[in-house]
Amino acid sequence: MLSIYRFPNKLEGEEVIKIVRRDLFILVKKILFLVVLILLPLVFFNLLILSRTDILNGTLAYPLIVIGISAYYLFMWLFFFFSFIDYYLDVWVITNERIIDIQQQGFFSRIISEQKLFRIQDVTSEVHGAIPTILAYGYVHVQTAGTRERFVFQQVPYPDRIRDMIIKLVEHNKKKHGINNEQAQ
Amino acid sequence: MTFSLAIFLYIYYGFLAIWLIFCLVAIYHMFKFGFKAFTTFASTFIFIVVAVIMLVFSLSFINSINWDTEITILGGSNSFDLPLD
Repeated sequence: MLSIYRFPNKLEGEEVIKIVRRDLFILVKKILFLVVLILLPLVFFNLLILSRTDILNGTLAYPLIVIGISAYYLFMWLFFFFSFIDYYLDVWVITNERIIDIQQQGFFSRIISEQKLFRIQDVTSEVHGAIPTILAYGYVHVQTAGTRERFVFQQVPYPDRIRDMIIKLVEHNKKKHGINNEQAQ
Repeated sequence: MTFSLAIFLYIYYGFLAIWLIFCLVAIYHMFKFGFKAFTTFASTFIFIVVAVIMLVFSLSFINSINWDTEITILGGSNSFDLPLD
């Protein structure tokens, strides 16, 4: 189990500045989707089965309905928990020395990568769409010295504030290590 | 063609075994990779409690069914919606 006080390969004097997760609205969307999936069989039940109540007394129909509903709701609950895990375990840890990107992808895939702050060249925040603009969540792109984009903070709250924070930390970190932008490249 | 209703129960138990494995994987993920925080413990606890409640409800309904009933399809009378014994 991870701890913000004792995460892997912690450097000397390293402090956690911020732990960032996706915006809460992303979780709310998952919960609303679960509610729809819960209500769906009830609608089906009302429309199709209650019009033929004799089917509930069927030798074959009743057991099939019972195990079908049980399997459906158990699966839905597990599906929702995995959705929550996907939300909860996707995390970006910003420290005064580096950025750690932890991504849970599917059931058995997990990616952890990190980047030293003094290597960061450019930080961009993006907010696209009506709902993200209203709820103030979006993307933060972190570009390092290489050509490939290193990190993308996805659907995080207040991306502009996170960008400003990273830029300040990068400047401070570069001063601390006596590095200017040309050296970092 | 006649077969026992219990076949569906065994299929259901098979599903339940797979479901249980994935539940354990999910709980393992939470405790292995989650932060040591209240949310981690609370969400896992809620998941387990709700899952147990669902299982108890399911099993109470399942136990009320006579799974030894023989079902006849094709060549006999259709027992899909015949009244229960």
